[in-house]
Amino acid sequence: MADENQRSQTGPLKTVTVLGIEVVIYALFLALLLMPGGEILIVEVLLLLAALFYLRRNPALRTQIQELFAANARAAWIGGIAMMLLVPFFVASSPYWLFIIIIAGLFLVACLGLNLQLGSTGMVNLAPAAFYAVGAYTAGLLALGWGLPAWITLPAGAIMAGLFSAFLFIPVLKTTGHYLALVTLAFQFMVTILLDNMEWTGGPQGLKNIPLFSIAGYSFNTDINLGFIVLPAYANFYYLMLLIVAAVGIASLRIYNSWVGVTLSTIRDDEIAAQTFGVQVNRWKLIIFSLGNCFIGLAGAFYSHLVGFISPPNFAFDKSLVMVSVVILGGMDNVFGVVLGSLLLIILPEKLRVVQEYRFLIYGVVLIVMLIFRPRGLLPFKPRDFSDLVEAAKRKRAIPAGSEAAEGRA
Amino acid sequence: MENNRIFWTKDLSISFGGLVAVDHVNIDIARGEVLGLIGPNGSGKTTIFNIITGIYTPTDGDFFFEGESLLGKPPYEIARKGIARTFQISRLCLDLSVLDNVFIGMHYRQKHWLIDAVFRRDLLAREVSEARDRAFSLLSVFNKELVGLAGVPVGALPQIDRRRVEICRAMAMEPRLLLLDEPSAGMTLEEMTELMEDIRKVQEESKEISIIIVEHDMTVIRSISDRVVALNYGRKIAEGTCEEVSHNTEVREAYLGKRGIKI
Amino acid sequence: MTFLDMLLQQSINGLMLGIMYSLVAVGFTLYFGVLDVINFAHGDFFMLGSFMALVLYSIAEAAGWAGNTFLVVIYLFIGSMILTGVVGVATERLCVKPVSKAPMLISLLVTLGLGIAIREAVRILYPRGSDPKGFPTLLPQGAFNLGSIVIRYENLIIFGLGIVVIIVVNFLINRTKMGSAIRAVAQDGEAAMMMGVDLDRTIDITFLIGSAVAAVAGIMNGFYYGKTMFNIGAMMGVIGFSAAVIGGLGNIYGAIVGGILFGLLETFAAAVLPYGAENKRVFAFLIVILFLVFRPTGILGEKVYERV
Ligand SMILES: Nc1ncnc2c1ncn2[C@@H]1O[C@H](COP(=O)(O)OP(=O)(O)OP(=O)(O)O)[C@@H](O)[C@H]1O
Ligand SMILES: [Mg+2]
Repeated sequence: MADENQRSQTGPLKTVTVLGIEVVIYALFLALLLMPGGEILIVEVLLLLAALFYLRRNPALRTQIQELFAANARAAWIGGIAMMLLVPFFVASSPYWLFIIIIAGLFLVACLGLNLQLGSTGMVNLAPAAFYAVGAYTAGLLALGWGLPAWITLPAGAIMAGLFSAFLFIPVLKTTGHYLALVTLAFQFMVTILLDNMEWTGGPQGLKNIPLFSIAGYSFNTDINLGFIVLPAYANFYYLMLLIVAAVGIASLRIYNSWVGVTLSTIRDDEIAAQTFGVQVNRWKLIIFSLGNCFIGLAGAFYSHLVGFISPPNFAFDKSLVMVSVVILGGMDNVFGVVLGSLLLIILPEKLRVVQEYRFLIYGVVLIVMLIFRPRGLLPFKPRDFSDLVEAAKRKRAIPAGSEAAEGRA
Repeated sequence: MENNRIFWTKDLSISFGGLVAVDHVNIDIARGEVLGLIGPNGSGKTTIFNIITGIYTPTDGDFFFEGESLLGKPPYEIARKGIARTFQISRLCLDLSVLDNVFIGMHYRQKHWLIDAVFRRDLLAREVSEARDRAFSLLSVFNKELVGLAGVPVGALPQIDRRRVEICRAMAMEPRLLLLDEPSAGMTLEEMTELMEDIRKVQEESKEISIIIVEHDMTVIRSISDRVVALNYGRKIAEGTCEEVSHNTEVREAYLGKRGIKI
Repeated sequence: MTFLDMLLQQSINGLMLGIMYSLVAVGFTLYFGVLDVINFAHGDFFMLGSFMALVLYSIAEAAGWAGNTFLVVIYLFIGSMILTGVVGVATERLCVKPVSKAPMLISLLVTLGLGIAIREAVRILYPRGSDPKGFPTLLPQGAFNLGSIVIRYENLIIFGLGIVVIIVVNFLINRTKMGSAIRAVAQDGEAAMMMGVDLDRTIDITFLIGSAVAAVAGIMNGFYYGKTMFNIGAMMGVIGFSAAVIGGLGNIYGAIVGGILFGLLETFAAAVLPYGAENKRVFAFLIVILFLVFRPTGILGEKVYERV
């Protein structure tokens, strides 16, 4: 029966509908960036609320849309990727917004790492910005001190952040909940204070003139001249960012959608139950804690080569707070939720610069209101559905003879 | 008997602060046997399960499984030896689907690891589809309808189905010793009989498995167990067939004094 | 100055700071007791208290009755305690209590958000609120010598005041009907409710006391450093929380001991360790982390066995 349904959801018309929906969202997103003034923000927020409200009242429509996208996943992905690739073309006239989008991408990478810890495994980490700092300073120091190229400094930043996790290994295993929150909070403050006071990290001045990326002699600081259009230099960073986001995003999705994902969810929901079923809880916690921090460190390393200048305030507690809110507001243990969260929480505050003075006040209030009324985030955790995997396995195993029998059993 | 016993304890004891919750208890169970464990509230039944599964470390005594001492082993290692359990207060992951919950019971048999999850999806696909078939056949032993609900979060199921899922999760481990802690708590009489039927079915399907079951209701105990051990204040006060134990004066006093249960 | 003198002098400074930390920590412990919630905005009530005092002082100045310093100081403390306490209760009702049953991460983030909102509100509402604000010198200046140790009158008064507040809080919690309600709720909220304790009212009162005590600490801090600023709450929140945990979360005496210990740790680290002055908090936080690992229930907490 499900198949019937799927079939009715495919066809050229349906594909066009899917792409149409994507284009509309994309256009709204670009309009938000490119139209000056705050009116567009108000209009779009109202539109969004109206749409959410309407969908809430019509769950049938919602499931229909979900099924539509599921049935046309390939088209949806191709359309989405094409639009991503085209972003620099549309915002070529305002490099500032391209920069902000890159920053959002970096936060996304970091928050995917944080999500592994916080969302998937339930380990509280209030110090993501500290590990972001480790990545950034590692890359900066290596590039400045030894002139190492970006293809070394980026992984080095990630690995160093992973290694720094070892400082918290014992607390991570020995404490949970509020206590782990305090440990990581203390760690965050320790790192910022130390960065401020240590000479070899540049103290309060931080690191200046960190070389921007250049890979195989190609400097990322050059505009891309395509003849009919000149893309700002940030486009280079944008495409590299996109590549990293894709890698980290796919890895995250695959971890979630696997045996490992199930294991982590069980640790998050009930450690004791997990243990009594043979899960080596401690080992998984350390692995995920380190892996998550690697992602965060990678983002940090990229950041230092993007801006060329880093100093302690870039890595203070408020950055950690933003990252934690991205994960919780977006939706814990939901990769798409984290994507949505980082777009909203990084780009909207920039848009709110028109009300500069009240920006953080609004931020705090929105945080409170959202969490009280939608504590599970914008896109909450969804139970896994392994049927795609199972289908794939079956198709492989039983071509052509047993295929019908196999399907009949399911 | 002596050679056939799969699990036994030796003077198992634990105290919390001043309270002695389990006091030099010796129990043993043969392969394929169903042992009923009874006793009034707070007599230490759950605590014994917690010791056996490695959650608490006993303050004194030792316990053996298939001839090997498990003292001081962490819970995951004990699980891997082949001991599975259910909890008195259900410990399912309510947000996860029925299938995921059963999957965790198969956790340690999976070869699949973090690197494979990212890079070797074909291996994963094969494992998942095999695991799913096994989970479905387990679930259908209990309730055919559960198979259809495999994708639903456990939190959306009624109490009795949750119990079933919990037992399935334990059975998915293919244990040789299964510990059931008041599997029928909070159920109506009919639901309880239904569940007992299911458990017996499981027992019959794999004769090898030994079960220790904690229950308050004597009719349930009588219908399912081969032998009964009674506890009071952490001490073993009686042992034998159901008839013997229920006629034991100390047992009667323990129950009557506490809750006036009809035996 | 001999080493012993130095030690004594540092102890006195540490006690001074410590008593302020204790006052903040008491709030954390009280809230955790009645609501099982860590209120990360609590540090901002410390800050709010100091700003309320500034507002009250400017009113007094404008009205021309800032002359009698003794009365003005009392007016500042009491006024700020009331105002801050009221804000504390209001925020508790609006956003702390609604999330107290939610998962820990939610309550954590909501209270962090609340902290931001309070901080920003102060910055925006207070004239030129982004700058540090000078505090009036109302307490007697000068110092006296005790051997080779110097004790400033101001510090002595602040310390004495801290002790008085602690005694009063202790009296309220242990000797009054209201206090026994608070203790009952902290033990077991539902049981307390069945015994006829008005849960909502008890929670309100707890937040009133907690915020008012934090306000006292905020004003003391203002007098001590001669200034205050809108963003001092975040760090103080972490310190107060740390102190409460070192002492044993949920235990009032623990919070007091923890606060004083944190103050002493800081001052000794600053005096004794190399690069201590700028890194004193790094050291103090390190000790906090060690504490959490090796004695997670704190100094005065009792061992609990996790029930399964
Ligand atoms: N973690 C713990 N900390 C302190 N005391 C405990 C702990 N676990 C169990 N106890 C105590 O040990 C005793 C035995 O408890 P247990 O849960 O084993 O009883 P039980 O026989 O399972 O009772 P019930 O029929 O109510 O389930 C009780 O007095 C209980 O209070
Ligand atoms: Mg029990």
